[in-house]
Amino acid sequence: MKKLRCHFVQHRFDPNSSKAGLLSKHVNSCQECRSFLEETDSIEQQLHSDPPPHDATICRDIMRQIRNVAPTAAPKPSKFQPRVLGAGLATAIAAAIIAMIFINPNDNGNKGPIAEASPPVPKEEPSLAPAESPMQSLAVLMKQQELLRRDARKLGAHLRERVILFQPVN
Amino acid sequence: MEDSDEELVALCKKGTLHAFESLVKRYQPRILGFLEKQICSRVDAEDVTQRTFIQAYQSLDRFDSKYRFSPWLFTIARRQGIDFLRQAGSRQRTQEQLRSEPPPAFAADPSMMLGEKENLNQIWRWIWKNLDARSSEVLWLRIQEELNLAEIAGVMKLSRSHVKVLLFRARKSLGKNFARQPESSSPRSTTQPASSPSL
Repeated sequence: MKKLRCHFVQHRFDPNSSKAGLLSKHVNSCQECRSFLEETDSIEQQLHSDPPPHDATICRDIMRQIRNVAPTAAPKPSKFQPRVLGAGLATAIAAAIIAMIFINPNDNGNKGPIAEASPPVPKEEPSLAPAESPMQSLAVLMKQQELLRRDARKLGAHLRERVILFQPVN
Repeated sequence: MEDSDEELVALCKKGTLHAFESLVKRYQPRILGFLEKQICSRVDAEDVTQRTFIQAYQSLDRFDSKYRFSPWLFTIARRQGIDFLRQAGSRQRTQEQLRSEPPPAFAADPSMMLGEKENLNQIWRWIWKNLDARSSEVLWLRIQEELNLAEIAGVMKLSRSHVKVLLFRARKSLGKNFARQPESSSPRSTTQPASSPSL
């Protein structure tokens, strides 16, 4: 085979190249390139062979490995079966009974931790009668102020007891 | 009628293991053939083939169905082969091992070998021995797998121009060594490594 001096033949491998058309024109006129392409194409064709049939043993090994790594997907139920519905209903009833036993609104002596943690509800003071004179109004306001202070003290004491953030630092 | 690769991949993504088995049967000989040449050991190539399919199965959700399946699979196979050789520190050794093998019993005119299909394996071994690894891989992907330039570039992680040059040189080397000789010329020795012909 003669030495090839043309670079056009490189574009033979890229049919999308903009120079592909240029190559075909060139090949028509250049005997050297034409013989090169004919020869190498012929060699390529002869070097191609169909792959042999698969090896059953290797394929089996591969699939065994893949089954090991594949997540075992549970089959999805196609319909909502009555058996499942019955089991669900029974569970719901059992849960409701348990909840009724443990959360009894009349059982004041057996409060849970949430009930204990909740702040005490201040007792409602008797509503003060509307004042008729300025001196009476002042007395009412002072009384209300006193009541508010008392409530604030109670709330503060409760918070100090229950919430760690309000504990005095020793 | 056989399902296409893309149809089988779509079924695999839905969790049909049977579809993946069809892909394994379809591609196992091709992947094994490629890796056997790359690694130069049938036993190791079988092992790497297995790894290739396992990795493909695990990465199937990342496969973009816009592209063909075979270049994607060969990308994984090539990477696995290189990793295997790197772990064993044996890429260099493989080349040396190939070179130390006795030359194939080619006829005086190697072009005569081409017509006989049973010699193809031997010829490919010769190619792998005499060309550098990348050129051999490019040539295999082009001739055996019939991948186009862009697909080969994707598998090899090279630019299209680089692949074009590698292909061109490889084909020239093939032409030099396997072209039919004129009756008057003397037969060439096939044991001599193919050098890059000057342009």
